[in-house]
Amino acid sequence: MWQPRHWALRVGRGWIRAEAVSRGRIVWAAEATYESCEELVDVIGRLVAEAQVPARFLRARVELERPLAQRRLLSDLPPVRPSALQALVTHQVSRFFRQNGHALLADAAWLPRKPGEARVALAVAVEEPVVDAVLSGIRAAGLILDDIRPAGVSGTRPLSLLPVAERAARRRAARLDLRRWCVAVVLLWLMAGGVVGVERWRERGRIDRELGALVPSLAALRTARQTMARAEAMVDSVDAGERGRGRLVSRFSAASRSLPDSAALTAIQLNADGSGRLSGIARRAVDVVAQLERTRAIAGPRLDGRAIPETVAGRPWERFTILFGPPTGRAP
Amino acid sequence: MKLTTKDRRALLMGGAAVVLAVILFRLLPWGVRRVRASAEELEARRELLARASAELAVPAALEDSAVVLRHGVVALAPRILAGSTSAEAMAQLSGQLNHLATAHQSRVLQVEARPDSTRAGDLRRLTIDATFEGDIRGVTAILAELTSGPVVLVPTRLVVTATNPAETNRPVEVLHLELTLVAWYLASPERV
Repeated sequence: MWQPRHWALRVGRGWIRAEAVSRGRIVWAAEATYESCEELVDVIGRLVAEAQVPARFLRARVELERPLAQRRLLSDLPPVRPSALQALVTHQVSRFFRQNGHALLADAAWLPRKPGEARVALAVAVEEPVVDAVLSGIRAAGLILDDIRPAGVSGTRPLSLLPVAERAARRRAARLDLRRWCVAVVLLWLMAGGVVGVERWRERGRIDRELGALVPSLAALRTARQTMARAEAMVDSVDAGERGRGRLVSRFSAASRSLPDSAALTAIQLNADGSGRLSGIARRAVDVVAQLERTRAIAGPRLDGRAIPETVAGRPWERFTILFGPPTGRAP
Repeated sequence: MKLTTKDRRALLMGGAAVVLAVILFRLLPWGVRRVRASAEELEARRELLARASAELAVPAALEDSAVVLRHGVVALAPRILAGSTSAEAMAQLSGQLNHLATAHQSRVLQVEARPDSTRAGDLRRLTIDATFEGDIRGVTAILAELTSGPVVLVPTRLVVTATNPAETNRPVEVLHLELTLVAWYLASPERV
């Protein structure tokens, strides 16, 4: 984890250098020597206490210099997975590293290789009392340890020289952190969903209230519109009757005026659809039809059957019936 | 049987896979459908509210129409028959036709109502068949007055028949006028 301010402790055999680093810049540094692991604990505490830096420098990173931290390139290891490599090296640590009566803490990582080359692992180890002393010193100084790493290692994953128990504790803590973050994210989503749901519920309530308030006005408006529609229908119907009331009488007058002088009507029937029937007597029935066609007083005049010859006062006349109106219509 | 760590892990992974599948293929689609339906319903309600508000926001045009219609409805009174039932309207129309015939030396032979259920708003249509008898002047005057009087009477069928003077023993020609007339009356809501 990148920290803008931290302690960088470099520990060698018999010496220690403490640096206070702020945003990549060393703001304070001091060196000291120590004789034993017990003294190393005190030296770390003293250096941190003497430093004239703000109390915001809380985290510490430790690098162990050679030969305090032993380093080996191992080429005859079985091709195990990277996660199993550290267990393999730890299990055979005495085979790969010098051991002077103390337990060793080790870590290892495969180095990048080209095709055809043998696999080589970089392994580091340090005596456990040194690591314990560093841990104790840092805790005593009130700092939080980020990691203990071998100095000068690059080109591979970061190697850690923390005790096995500490690493396991950190892994557990990391898993716990991950779970907490997952739970937090799920809770956050649930909260967001809840907020959106509540917001929608409130808006729906608001809309329902507003609609409820509008219902009487809408009902009144609809009633008014229905009343207006009824009134409109009433006025329209009477107006339509007013416009058409004289039509039949006008057609009757026009038909009567259009007859030739030599014709006399005995009956006339007019219907609203323009059809009708006209009966009478004339010198020549076809002359009547021709006259009616010419004046266009009625539409489509045509003789209904043949004219019946008749003698009136010694003169020949024809009795006729004329149908008129739409050609498809049938006069009653 | 004692479960090893590997067995426990396999059981946990399997359970997690089942739970994940249920979440992904059941709960999540159901939730998405519910959320979408809820959003659509909310949108529909919003539109309903907007339409209702818009509907209520145009009373001015409605008021103008109402004023015009009010004048039209007021002017309807003299143009329709009095009476709120078919019988009352029929009685008024019969009286009017009798008066008209008498005034023009004619007579009413028959007035008969036809069944008619046509409505226009609160107005009901009355359709009658009427038969008059009179001379040419009387019939012409009746027709003229029927189509120009204050009450709107609309002839929809007109039959004029001349009778033979020799048959009636009258010195002048007698005409029969058969009319089908349509008029309107205002029905009271409870007495249709």
